[in-house]
Amino acid sequence: MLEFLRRNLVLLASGLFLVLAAALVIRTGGETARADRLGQAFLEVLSLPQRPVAALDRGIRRAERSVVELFRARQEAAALRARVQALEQDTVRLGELAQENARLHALLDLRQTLRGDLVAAHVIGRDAGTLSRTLVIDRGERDGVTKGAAVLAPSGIVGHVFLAARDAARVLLITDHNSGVDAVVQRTRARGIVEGQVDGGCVLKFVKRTEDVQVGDLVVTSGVDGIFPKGLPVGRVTAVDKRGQGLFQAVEVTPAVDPGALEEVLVTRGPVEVALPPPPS
Amino acid sequence: MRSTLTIAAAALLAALLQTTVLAAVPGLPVVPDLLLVLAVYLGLHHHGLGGVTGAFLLGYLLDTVSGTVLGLNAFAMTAAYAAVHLVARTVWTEGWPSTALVVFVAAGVQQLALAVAAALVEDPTPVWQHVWRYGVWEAVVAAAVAPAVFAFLAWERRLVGAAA
Repeated sequence: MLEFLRRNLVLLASGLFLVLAAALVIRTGGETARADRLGQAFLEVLSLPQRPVAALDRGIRRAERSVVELFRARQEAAALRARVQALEQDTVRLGELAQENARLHALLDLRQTLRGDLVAAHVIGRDAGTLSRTLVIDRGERDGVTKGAAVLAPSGIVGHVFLAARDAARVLLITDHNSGVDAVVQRTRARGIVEGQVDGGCVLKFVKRTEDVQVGDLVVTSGVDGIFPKGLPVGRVTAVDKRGQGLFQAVEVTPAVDPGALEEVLVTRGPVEVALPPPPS
Repeated sequence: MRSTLTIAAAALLAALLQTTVLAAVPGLPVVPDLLLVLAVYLGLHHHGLGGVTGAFLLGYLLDTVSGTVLGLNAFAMTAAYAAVHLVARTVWTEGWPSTALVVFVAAGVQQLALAVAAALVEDPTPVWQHVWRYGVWEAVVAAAVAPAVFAFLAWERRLVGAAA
């Protein structure tokens, strides 16, 4: 008997504890409040480290949340930066489109003041050297652009085509030293030849000393050279010098067109003339 | 004495972890029952009155921090201890795979005992539903953490032994 008890002591004790536990369950099962001293003691002991551990846990979770939020914020910042970049690119593109639109409007306005066959072209290249002043446009013989065609911009004449390929052409600017445009001073009809200078400016040559030319006068094409229609702006007189010897006076002209800023031009495809405004009724 | 100290400290730590850190882990469907693992440890290494008393007290401690009915977990933990004791008497339980398996079995016994004890005072349907939904997961999680808990206890015993 003693041997059985010794051998099964643990199981018997377990049985006793099970009964004890079941009794506890039955006793406290229907109760809405508990008052066990051992439980209170356990709770008391456990609550001592529970407070700092819970506080630490809260701190860690807060830090974890902060890290997560920081990470999210970084991701959001990166996304927003990308968005801002995209929007800035859009803004630049829209600005470009607006400017192009304005330029094309001006070109269209010019087109409406001219009578004849014209084609719009984009400037796709500039002179490779610094001595000459030429442009490359994206229209050529296939578009009806031939050698000698006048190239115009809304603010005045640009130059003329001196080499036409199948799909492109080279334009000699009026500011090139090899260029010569027959022109007149609009106010007094004093005639001369506008020639380019190596510094990018122009001079009105062969104007008689007796002619009345003043700073600020507008110089326009005469239409005599067979290239440019009559009456288109060439530039404005910025200096007049009559002090030198000879028959002619020196007249400095600033071109109406800034070739460096040109992006679109009109090219003539045959005889073109400036349409006169209708007479007032 | 050293063993009692070791188990008491481990029990306190386990209860602390179960009621704070582990209970607050977001998205964790079940909390690892470290106190059950301790009861299994007792069942495997303490074959005497001290062991069974310890298991009862572990359950009682769990009752203090879990549920409203006093004695439920004490009952379940004692039952689990007794089951482990029976297993340890007949089966070789050294090494972490067998330890994990014993913990898995003990978790099953604990849940069955919990349902039985609950049936004494209340409608056991919710307990059975819990066992049905989470029983296996709780057993798996307890079995998964068991080797770590056992290793910690071995380390703690060495520590207490060295200090003594």
